[in-house]
Amino acid sequence: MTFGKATAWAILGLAFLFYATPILWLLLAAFRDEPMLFSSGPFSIGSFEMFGQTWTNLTTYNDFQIGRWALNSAVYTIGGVTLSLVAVLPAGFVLATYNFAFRKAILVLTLIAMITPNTVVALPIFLQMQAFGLNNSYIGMIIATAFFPFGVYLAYIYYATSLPAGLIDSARIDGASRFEVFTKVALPLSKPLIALVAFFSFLANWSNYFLAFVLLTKDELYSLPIGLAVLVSSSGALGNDVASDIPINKPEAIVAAILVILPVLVLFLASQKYVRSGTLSGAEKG
Amino acid sequence: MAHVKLTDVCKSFGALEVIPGVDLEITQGEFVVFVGPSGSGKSTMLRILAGLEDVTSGAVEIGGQDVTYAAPSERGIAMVFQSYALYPHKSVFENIAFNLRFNKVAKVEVETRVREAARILKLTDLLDRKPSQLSGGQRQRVAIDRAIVRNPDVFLFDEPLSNLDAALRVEMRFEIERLHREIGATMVYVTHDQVEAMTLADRIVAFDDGHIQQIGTPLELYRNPSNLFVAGFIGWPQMNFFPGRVSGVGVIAELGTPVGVNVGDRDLGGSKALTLGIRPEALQLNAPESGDRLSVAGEILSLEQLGHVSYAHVGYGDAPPLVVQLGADAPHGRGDKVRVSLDPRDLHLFDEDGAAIR
Ligand SMILES: Nc1ncnc2c1ncn2[C@@H]1O[C@H](COP(=O)(O)OP(=O)(O)O)[C@@H](O)[C@H]1O
Ligand SMILES: [Mg+2]
Repeated sequence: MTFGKATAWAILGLAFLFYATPILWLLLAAFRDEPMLFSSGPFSIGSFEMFGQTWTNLTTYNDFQIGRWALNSAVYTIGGVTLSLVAVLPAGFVLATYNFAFRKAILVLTLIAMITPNTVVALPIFLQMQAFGLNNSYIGMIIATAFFPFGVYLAYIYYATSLPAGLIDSARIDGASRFEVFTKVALPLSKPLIALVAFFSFLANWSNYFLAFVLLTKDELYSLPIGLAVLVSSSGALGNDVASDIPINKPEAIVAAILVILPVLVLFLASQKYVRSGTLSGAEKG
Repeated sequence: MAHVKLTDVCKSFGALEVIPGVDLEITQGEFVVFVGPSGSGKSTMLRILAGLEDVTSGAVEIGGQDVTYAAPSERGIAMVFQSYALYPHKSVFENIAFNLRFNKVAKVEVETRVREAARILKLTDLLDRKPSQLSGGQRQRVAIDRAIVRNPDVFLFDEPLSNLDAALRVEMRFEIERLHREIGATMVYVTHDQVEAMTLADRIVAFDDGHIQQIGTPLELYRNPSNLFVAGFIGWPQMNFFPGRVSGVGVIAELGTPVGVNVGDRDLGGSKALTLGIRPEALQLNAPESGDRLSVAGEILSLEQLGHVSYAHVGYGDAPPLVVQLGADAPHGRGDKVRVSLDPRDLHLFDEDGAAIR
């Protein structure tokens, strides 16, 4: 190993440690109870019993209400991801492959919408949903989260750069209509794109706090992040003096945090294979 | 009767006028090659025929039908692209069958037609593969088979061999020629490679800058180029050019020193400055002196020996060297002092505008 290589590895290792430490701490902390969190070292290992107790405390709260929230989250997220895919893929395809009036303008608007923070539009969306009578409803929440300009842009870039124009010409000569060019040629070649859009859309929807916070006021409609946040703050779990009699304390807050990030991790591992696969090899020369 | 007919076809991309107005008739069964440098509008012309580009104005007829506004799939054409454009997610079989599926051809017939097409280009053993598992030559065969299976009235080829290596290119050229003989369909073939144009074409259409420069058989274009562009583009090594002028009754060639040339009864019109052209094979080294031959003394700057033939680049004065074709075992070497001569009857004359004077 040369000196340069050793340095590179050392830097990578340090960076890894730096960023992995909090996550490791979080995972280990889930196995400790409240007293142990304070008394023992930061990376000490608790026991499965302690985790079991925490888990019971969390799940028995209010008749397993966090189960309901997790289900709500799944509905919002799967609905939002599905609806955004249905809208985003054809939109990106058309923007990338056809020339029509206002195409450039639409692209610019997409970019603007993409960089607008969603906190800025939360209030107008709330008013809009209220006007349609859709706040505090599954449909309203799904429609609101399916708005995904970043996905449109991603799809546009993908189709503009990775889909050979010759394939579209070829399909048109073969007799495919515009819609069939999309469904029979572009779509089967879109696995990496679908994986990417679904992943980012999932990420945005799953951890979407602010929009859910604004649109949902009934606790039976809460998503997991909202529900847990409300639970943790109302129980005073993160304060230093144990205030309430609800058995929700720091270990429960920690497990709740893990519950929120776990699906993201799983989905990332599942989708990265598709993101990296070279579906388009062999279309053209090479 | 014309099988394919273009009438005053114009094409602009925004403000960029690519085809300023083209008229062209192609007869049934003809093999027509569009040749010209890159960017001259050949692909655009082909894509207009295919219906992949709309015309800005003008009309396109195929088989007596006005197809100016018809969809690509309604024109009875099939197209083969330089990039092959195979569907990477489909097997070779499904790539070839794709069009038939759209036309709701019965399953059994799809099977027989695909197998028949595969037989013609020897793809039978590859039908189950994906395009990514094929070599470049095999991919181009699939692309051509995809055209064959449709049984089109007109085949359109856009530089189909440009991505292949030299040996494969020659082989595929023969395959395409054989295909034309076997099925006798009208074929329009775009290339910037004049060897392909010369060997494949019944008729060549030479393009430059969106304009048709000349239409004719390969030998017509070679022997009687109608302008400087065609003279320089067709033939390799290029035709040699040197300046000349009209003086009084005769033509003076600036070949080293000004020298009078007998150009026979060619009609010089009112032109003053001329360009004279001569093919490398019409030049001779150290030929016996004779009264009506034109000659110039020079030195061999370099000698390209290709085995069956050699090309000597002969410098004289500060003009561009003359390229002279020699027999393979001509006894010459670099640095030799030689005398290049030519028969004035072999000269091509071009006026100030580059048009041939015949
Ligand atoms: N879709 C297009 N948009 C704008 N310009 C184009 C387009 N297609 C071709 N051109 C231009 O038209 C000219 C002719 O192109 P092309 O027909 O592809 O030439 P060739 O096939 O002879 O190389 C070029 O200058 C090219 O840049
Ligand atoms: Mg081209």
